[in-house]
Amino acid sequence: MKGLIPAATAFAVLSLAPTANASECQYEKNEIDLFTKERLVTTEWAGFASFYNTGIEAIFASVSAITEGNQDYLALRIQVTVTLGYDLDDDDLREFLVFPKDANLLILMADGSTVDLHAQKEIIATTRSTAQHSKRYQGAPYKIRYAVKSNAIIRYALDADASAALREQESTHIKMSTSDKDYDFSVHGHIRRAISCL
Amino acid sequence: MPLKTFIALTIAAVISVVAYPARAGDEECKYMRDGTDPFTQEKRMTTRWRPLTGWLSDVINQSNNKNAEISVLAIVRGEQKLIAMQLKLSDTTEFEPTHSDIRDAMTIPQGARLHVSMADGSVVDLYAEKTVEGHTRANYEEGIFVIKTTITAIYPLDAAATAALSDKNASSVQLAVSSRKYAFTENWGLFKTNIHEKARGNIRQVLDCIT
Repeated sequence: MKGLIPAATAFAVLSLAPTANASECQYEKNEIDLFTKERLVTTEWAGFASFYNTGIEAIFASVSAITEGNQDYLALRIQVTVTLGYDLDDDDLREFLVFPKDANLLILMADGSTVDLHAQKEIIATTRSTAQHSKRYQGAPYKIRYAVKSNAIIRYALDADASAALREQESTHIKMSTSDKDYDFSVHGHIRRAISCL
Repeated sequence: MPLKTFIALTIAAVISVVAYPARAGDEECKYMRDGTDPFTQEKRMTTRWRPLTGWLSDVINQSNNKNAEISVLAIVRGEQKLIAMQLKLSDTTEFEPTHSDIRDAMTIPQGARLHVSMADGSVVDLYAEKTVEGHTRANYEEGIFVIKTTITAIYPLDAAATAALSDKNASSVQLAVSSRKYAFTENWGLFKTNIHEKARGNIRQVLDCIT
């Protein structure tokens, strides 16, 4: 019984330790490029949104901050999933989710001011449609549903002003423009946390 | 009476008994969204869906694969008021649908008319804000393909239309729609229905919730 209390304490401390560190910076990549000697940093992706839109579309989004040499970027990863009753052709897949060059990312800060960023280049999301077979019709499986999954990572270049503004206070909402619609998300300090880790 | 209809009716009867006390609160306003746009500070409200067809006939129609449901809600975007109509329709076919049959099955084009007849015989005409596509799916069931579509169109209201619709009960609605291959409506290109006796105040009610 005597040995049990220190053991339990040690276990508790050990199991809590990673949680305590979680608020500090974690990196997916933190290295010097061997050829160019540039610093390459990518902070760990932090998920900030997952929801169902109109009951048809599921959306997941996460954020990370990137340094390449002297340039900093805010990067957003977005995944859209939707189930359709038909298959998409190649053009549909290509046009499913597109972020044009200079597409807006509007960030609303806690004090009501906004920071406006622009996509570094055009991003065409990687989109795949997977048939989900269900019943049999004339001996062959009848493909009733198609799960369409689309993934994109968009980089927004940060200048010194934007970087300072995003470090200074927390952001509350973002509005992300695509070629045909806007996505609104609420964020809770995720952007500030990512940028502060650069 | 086919077995499916009988089962559906039995379930409906059970639900109606169980759910009856809960229906007393129907008059209250409930919102799917009630707040302001964080960027523009504009007011944004969306009420919940209210049916215009009777739930009993909806259940019978569903069990016969002849869905013909319509519901309404009201929206506020800043100063602009709008109403949305959602149709749930179906058709059956013995031929396997192609992808384009499903994809282009149902559209409500921009400017398509919504014609509301009021209880006193007056009419209100509204026009669709933008082109919308239906969300269509096919199921293979017992030798036939059942094609179901859900489509939601939004109609902006001016002050006169808002006043006319909030003034009295509505008795019937007609929506111009565009279906390509499947006969989702009895009249081609037109969905027409009388509003269920108990639902005649529902358009007025959703508008009251946003004023």
